[in-house]
Amino acid sequence: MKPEQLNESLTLSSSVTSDELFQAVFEEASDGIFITDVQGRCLEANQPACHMLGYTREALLSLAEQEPPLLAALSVNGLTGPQLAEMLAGQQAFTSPVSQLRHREGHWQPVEIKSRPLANGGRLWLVRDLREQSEAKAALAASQARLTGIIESAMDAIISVDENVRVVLFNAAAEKMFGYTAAEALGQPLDRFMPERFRMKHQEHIHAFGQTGVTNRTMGSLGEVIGRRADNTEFPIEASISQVETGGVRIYTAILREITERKQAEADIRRLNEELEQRVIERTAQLAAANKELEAFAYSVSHDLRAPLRAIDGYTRILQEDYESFLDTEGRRVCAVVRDEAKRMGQLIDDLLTFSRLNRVQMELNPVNMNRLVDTVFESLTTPQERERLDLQVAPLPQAMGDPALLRQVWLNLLANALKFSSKRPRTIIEINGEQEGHEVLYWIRDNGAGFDMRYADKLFGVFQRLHSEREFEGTGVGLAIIQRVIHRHGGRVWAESEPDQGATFYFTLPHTEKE
Amino acid sequence: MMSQPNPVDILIVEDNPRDAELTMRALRKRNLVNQVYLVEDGVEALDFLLGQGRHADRQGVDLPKVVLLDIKLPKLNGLEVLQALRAHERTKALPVVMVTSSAEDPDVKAAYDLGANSYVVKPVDFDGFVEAMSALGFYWLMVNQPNKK
Repeated sequence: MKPEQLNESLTLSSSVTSDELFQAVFEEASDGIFITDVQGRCLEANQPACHMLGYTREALLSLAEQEPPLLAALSVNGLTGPQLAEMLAGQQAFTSPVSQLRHREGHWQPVEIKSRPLANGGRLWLVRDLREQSEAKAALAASQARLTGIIESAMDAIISVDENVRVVLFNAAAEKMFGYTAAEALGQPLDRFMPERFRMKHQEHIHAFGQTGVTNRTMGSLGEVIGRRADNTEFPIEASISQVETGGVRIYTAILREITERKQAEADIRRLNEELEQRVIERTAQLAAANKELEAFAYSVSHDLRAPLRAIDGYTRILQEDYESFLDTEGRRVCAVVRDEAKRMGQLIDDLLTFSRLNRVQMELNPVNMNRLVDTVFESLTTPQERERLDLQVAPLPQAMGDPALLRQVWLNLLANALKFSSKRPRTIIEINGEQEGHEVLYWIRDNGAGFDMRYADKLFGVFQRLHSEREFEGTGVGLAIIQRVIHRHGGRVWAESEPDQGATFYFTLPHTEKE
Repeated sequence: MMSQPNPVDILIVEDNPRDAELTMRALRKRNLVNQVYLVEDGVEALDFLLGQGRHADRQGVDLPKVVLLDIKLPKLNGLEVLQALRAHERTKALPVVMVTSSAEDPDVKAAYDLGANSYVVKPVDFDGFVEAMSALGFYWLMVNQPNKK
């Protein structure tokens, strides 16, 4: 069979002969091209065809003498071998998109076959390898299946609409959420799924959204979104919306989550907060009232208790002065006792009032320069002559956050104690130091005085509790209680260490100036 | 107590008889007691100083050199008396020393705000009290330059 016979109707006006044209097409075609004779033996095959069959051209043509391999290697519409030959005898041109070709190694490949009879009784075969296509189709199907699986298994409702705001996707969660089947929902306007009163606003938003071309704008910025179920009940939704344009088609996708429970929880929290605030307000008012009462009490004490004391002291003095001649030594001693006790009671009243005031007064927290405070207090407690006998060593002290007036009271009492209890030493030595530890500052004051027995240390800070007799050291036993109250109000701790006759060290902590 | 309308150097407004007696005793030590007049409540204090009511006959009499005014008084309290005194042309500039038991801050602030010249807390112990009273008397009578009418 000569090539020129194939091109019987081909006319060329160029310098290319039909021969050359045929050759070019035959060899350059991507698809396989066979030519068979009447018996179905392969007369010609191009490179792709040989590749598909798995033979070289020479092998293929030499095999032609034996069993016609082509027909055996073809399955057209399920027909192969003799059945195929029978079909071919009908001499038709046909296209079979679902045929198979068998490779020499035995595996069948999906192919599309076009065939037509030739004038000399032979056949022209065009075979297209569909493997890639079918693999691609399979991959696509798998991908579709996966995607659909994801969408249908998602917990959140996914609804997509087209440019006309009609539903094109309605997943299983959406079905459950809104009470429509996907079939019922598809093609419906999105309006169907929200209450009437929101529709206008929604339309505007969709169009605005479309215009800005912003993808993934969360609907939270649109305010509360409310959905409407098939049974007309309404429920709150949290939604995010995105848009995508593929193939010139714009799709809007909304992912919705019903937040009824969350809204309920939010409402509960709000209500609880309000109740709490109310309780705080009431409690504060109660505290304020209690404070006012205490203030009135302190005021009364201040005025009313002092006056009789003054009278006791004063009139006893009158006795001492005007009736001196009537009093013997014992009488004078008795008068002195009366006056001393009156004085002591006055001191007790003052201390109690200070203690009470410390509780009531509003604390003002400032960074406090401790060194300056200590110096001021020390100067107010001692005369220059006394300071000669004293050894006060104050190291550079770190700053702390505190109420300066209250802290002044603390140092006053600490220093007064240190001075008092070391008064019997030939030389009083007092050391004051401090260091920062994390977010706390620790201060301590050490004296070389009488010290105390650690066994009774837990009584140290009690009101009116004393660890020494009045005869040893005078005092009302309120000083340390005052210190403890102030330090505790600052959120700090206070404690002491000592041994009898070995002096005492008092420690306290305060919050540091920088609040981390 | 004196009742003739002679000018008086010190007016003491004190309702507590004990304190009153001790104050007089203290002033006596300084020989100031002859010029002292004592009233026991705020209303009488105003009458005395403004020359009205019970003391209408003091209209033309010179004012005292100083008033020692307790805060806690029956009828009108010391702060109310002070306020009234300061509102009156006649007694606007009259030296008033609040002498009282209370060192509570609101009282001190109120007193100064209302125009008190001084605020003294009565010490509990008598010696201190004597000191304070006689020092006061001495200062206002002997040391201070009185206002010339």
